[in-house]
Amino acid sequence: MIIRFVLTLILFLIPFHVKAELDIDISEPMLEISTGFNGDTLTLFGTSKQKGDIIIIVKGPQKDTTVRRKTDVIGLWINARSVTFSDIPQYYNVASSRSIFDITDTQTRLDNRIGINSLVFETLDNVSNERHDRFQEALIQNMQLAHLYSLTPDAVEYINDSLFKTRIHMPSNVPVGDYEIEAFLFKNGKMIDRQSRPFHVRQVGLTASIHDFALSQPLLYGVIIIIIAILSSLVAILLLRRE
Amino acid sequence: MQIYLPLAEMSVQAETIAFLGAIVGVISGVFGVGGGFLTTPFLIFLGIPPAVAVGTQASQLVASSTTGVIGHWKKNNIDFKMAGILLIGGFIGTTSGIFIFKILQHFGQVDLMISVLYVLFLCSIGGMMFYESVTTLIHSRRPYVIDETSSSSEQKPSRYAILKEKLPYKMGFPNSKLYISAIIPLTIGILSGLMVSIMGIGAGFLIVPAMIYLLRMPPLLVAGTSLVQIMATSAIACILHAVTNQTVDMILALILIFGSVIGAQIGLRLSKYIKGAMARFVLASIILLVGLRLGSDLLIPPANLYSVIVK
Repeated sequence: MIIRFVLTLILFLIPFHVKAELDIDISEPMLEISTGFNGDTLTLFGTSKQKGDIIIIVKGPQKDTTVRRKTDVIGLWINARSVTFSDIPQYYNVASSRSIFDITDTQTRLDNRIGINSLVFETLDNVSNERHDRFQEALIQNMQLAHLYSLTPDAVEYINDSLFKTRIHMPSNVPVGDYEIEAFLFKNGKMIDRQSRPFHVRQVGLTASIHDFALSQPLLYGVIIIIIAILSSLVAILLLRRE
Repeated sequence: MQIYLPLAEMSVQAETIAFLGAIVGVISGVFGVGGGFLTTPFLIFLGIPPAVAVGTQASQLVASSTTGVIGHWKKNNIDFKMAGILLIGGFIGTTSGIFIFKILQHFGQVDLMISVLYVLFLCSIGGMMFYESVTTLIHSRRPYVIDETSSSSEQKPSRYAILKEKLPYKMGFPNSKLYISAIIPLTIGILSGLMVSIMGIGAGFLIVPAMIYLLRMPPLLVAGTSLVQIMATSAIACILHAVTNQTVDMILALILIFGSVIGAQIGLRLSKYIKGAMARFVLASIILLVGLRLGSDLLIPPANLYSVIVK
């Protein structure tokens, strides 16, 4: 069963917010993962005071990430070189009203960290610039193949002059952790306003209980699994016994 | 039906996993090998993180081997004395293997060495068994030849047979009707333990052919006895993985266990019909296929040269 999770960004049209061109809020800042979870699509709504170009970035938790490359060593393909990048977002989704390359120039995108290539790929490994770039490119490609990085132009649609919406896909392997949703309003290449809100992906229910148990009581957890394994084979023997 | 795995942090199709468990269960029931060599690569192929695949499959091995152990036990097909000695060797091998692994890491290229050894090992064991079982199968079709070959081979004892006679610490194994030096099973146990900790594969692979060809145990006792060893080592490995790496996924384990206990029941029934040379022929083919498949991974240029690991 697919649980439809609707996330709403609401512009509050109350007096002291009048100055803001783009003001967002989230009704339920949490994606809950339970036993039946198989990916989900978030529907985001938002409003801007004036119609313009919208970019919405959903950025996942950051972790150190290693990229390994297979090399031909005396005719055998094995992992030889690796580069470890620090604090790489494990999820990065860019949805925009049109191509982000058309909305604004490279410098503005870099300054505001819009688009995966404007992120900083830092490494403590001693590598040449050329290798750094090759491994960075490979990292991005692999994350795209895993549906964890995506760039979708035309994903943000205006329903009327101020209300817009977008859908953001969270695959079944979406990393658990703290996310950030950033929304940008551009007009004629200039940034008018930006807003950000926290967002969370959490395990709930049985799934969460098992996860917590495995981390807090690992020995007991392991022993219980062994007991289950032995008991279930005993049960199967009794049930399927031939007379 | 999609089910979310709390430790692998992804969802999988439960039917696929249960089916995989059942196949491994059948193999384990028929041949008395663990089947970890099949589960681990297949789980990784499904996108499950390698560490979780390795940690969790150990729990399944416990389930499938328990079914086998009890089935063989009831038929009195287990040599517990032999299993005990193999286990002692296994413990020595596993613990010293961890140190050897660390030493190897200092020299680098452990990955290369492990993958090459793994492939060579699977292919040579598989090839040997394949050749032996095929010749036996052909000979058994022509009953006249069988007496000639067996008597002529007995007349010329091999170097191994002479060594076997000379080794000290002889011990009687009443169940197997053997009187051999304890050093032989102990060495086999140590080697299998070394393999478990260095290559991360189960002991059944080395132990089953070694029991057949080196110990000359009665074939009927081989499956049950090796399963005792597999059950014990897997249980310990599973608990160690849960404690040190938190890589045992309970939901994944439950689905695999469910499949494999049913598969093991089927396997036990099948084992009545698949016997002797035919069983060795089938097992040899499976081992050879896995070996060749892993070997082709080493030799064929991969489509994607890069892989990503988080942490």
